[in-house]
Amino acid sequence: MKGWHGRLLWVDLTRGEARSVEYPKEWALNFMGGRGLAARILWEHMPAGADPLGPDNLLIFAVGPLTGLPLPSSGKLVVAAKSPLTGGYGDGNIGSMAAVHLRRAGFDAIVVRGRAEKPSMLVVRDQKADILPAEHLWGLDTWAAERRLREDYGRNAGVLLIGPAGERLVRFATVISQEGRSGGRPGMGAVMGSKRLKAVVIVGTGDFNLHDQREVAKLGSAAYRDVKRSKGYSFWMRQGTMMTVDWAQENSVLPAYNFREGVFEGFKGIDGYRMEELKVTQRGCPNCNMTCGNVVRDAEGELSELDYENVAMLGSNIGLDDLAKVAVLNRLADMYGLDTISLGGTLAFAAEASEEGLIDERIEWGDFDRFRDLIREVALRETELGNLLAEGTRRAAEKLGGDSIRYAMQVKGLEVSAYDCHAAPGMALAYATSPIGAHHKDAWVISWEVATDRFSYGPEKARRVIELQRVRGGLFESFVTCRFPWVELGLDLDYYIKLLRAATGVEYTWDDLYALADRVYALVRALWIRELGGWDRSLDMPPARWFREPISKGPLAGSRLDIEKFRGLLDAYYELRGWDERGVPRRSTLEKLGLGFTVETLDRLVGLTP
Amino acid sequence: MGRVRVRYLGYLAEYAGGREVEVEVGESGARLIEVVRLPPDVSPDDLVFLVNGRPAKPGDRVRPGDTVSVMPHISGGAPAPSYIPVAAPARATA
Ligand code: SF4
Repeated sequence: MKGWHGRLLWVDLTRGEARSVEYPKEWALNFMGGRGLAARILWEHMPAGADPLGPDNLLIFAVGPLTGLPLPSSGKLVVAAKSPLTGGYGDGNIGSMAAVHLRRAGFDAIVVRGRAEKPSMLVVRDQKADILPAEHLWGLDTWAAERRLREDYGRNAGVLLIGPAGERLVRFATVISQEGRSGGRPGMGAVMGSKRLKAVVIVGTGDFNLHDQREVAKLGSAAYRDVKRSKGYSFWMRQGTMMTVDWAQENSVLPAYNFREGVFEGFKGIDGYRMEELKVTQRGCPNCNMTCGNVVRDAEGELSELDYENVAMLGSNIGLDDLAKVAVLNRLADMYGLDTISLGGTLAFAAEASEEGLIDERIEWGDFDRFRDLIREVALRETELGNLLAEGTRRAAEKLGGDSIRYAMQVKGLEVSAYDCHAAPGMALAYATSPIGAHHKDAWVISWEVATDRFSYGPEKARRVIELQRVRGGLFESFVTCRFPWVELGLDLDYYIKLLRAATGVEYTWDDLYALADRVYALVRALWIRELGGWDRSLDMPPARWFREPISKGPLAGSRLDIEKFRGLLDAYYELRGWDERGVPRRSTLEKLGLGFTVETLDRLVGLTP
Repeated sequence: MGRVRVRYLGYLAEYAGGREVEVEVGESGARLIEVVRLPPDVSPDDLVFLVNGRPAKPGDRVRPGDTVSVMPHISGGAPAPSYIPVAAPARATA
């Protein structure tokens, strides 16, 4: 088989062993890699109902047939596991040299189960893997630990690691690489910490095992050229995703004060032009010629890598209008190994709970010093409040009781990322149906939505969300490469199918790929149902705030979502996906997609609709 | 006579020569598309227009005192290959 290695590195930390195992060829062809492969492995090898922070959970690092190849922005991998934040399927992608090295080492994925007795790290050198002690790294922040590892394994080694937040099982701890790249929002860093795995170091020197290497090189260089020639290229290189601050403000979707508003009076203090004034350099993921990691000097003189999501969530959403200070909070999150989006949602939750008298402490909107301290308290679970917030907003609200669930801006337990949806039903649907909880990665429909009929709840919105979920969440997360060349600079999608054929020799058609994407989505939904032991469509509803509390500022003041119309939109979505009115895939859908192996389990748990 | 303020976002500002430009229009106003300055190879279909912060179309009328915003699609705007029915048959293994 070309294009894949057909092998997993299977690591059991309880037993202290690592071995190379083959996996079925059919999985590669029909689930491809990254998210698809990870979901298939979890279904097969993780015991149903496993404790996300227990030894039975599987932590998976997966690449795909396009990862690491000489084509735009291909240095990404997917990290997946059962999520300790949501209790369902969790994953994220991360740009790292580790992606390229993993492919060169000859594996399509690393699967880690068990729990080491003492802090450990996994070191992979081509086909040789060792589990080594890492007590000297435990407790270090991600930057310090990575620098130590680079001294030992070389500047170019692939390194994935956790910080103190992952070690302390903060439920939104992420995996970090290269001092600022972060992935696995739904607590993938906590899963790694629960296994006492501080770091994974990979050095691969083998080849990619491609069907037609010359064709890949030819297509890849044409794609690089098209990226560079695109209209938006020079501005993208100036601001990257930071241009979205102005854009979101203009369109009244910039989250402010815990998503109470969609405009922020201080937006000029945190926008892309302000970033340009503070910018010192630019960083990116491997193989990328449109690097978007804008590195600024923060208010404490240190370097911090910014993008739109972290700036909106740690800026406008907590009422902070000074980008140099936002950059401090962002840097701390990266060093501790915390997801900036959930962190921003959690800090905003705390500020609102404080305002409403649900917690005793005073936390004022925009109070940089207090938020700065609070990040440490959360990451280290230092104080009672820090410990509460380290559980994420849904659990924190359950513990606080009263009305506090109103302030927990989340879906399925994952905090909403940085687009306010009071006047964006399509984007609300994207959050509601994202396969990991409220994340924009799968269907960033808002741009299309504001350009078409923003206030409509018509079925075209459900259709568009599914189209985007297929390409972004289904395909890019399984290829595994960065979606930005396509979504930001309009690189022709046909490149990807041609590259895939050249890499694998499999004559995939778009129909095949869409079916593959639908298969991955239905399998992820099946995993959720299996792990939660049931399903209810309320799990696919956006936060109540967007229905109940209209925004009060800006040109769209008074806007809010209509719950009845939204339910209709969700019905249309289920119908198009071939899922029943509960949000459970129909038996016929599962069978058509080749997921017959899930039928018995799901039927037993929820009774499948034909 | 009066002025319409036009705000350009993203790379459009580089082309228009500024982030904010004022344009003279008659009392009866003008069509939105007449007051914006776009790169020749950019189709209005690929852009988002607002008037006073509310969604607008290129053919809409703008009047003195209005603010027009024009911006590229950000993220996820490019079209995907044509739509196919959901739940297509499983792929026979190659
Ligand atoms: S566009 Fe940005 S996120 Fe994507 S690969 Fe390049 S640097 Fe990484």
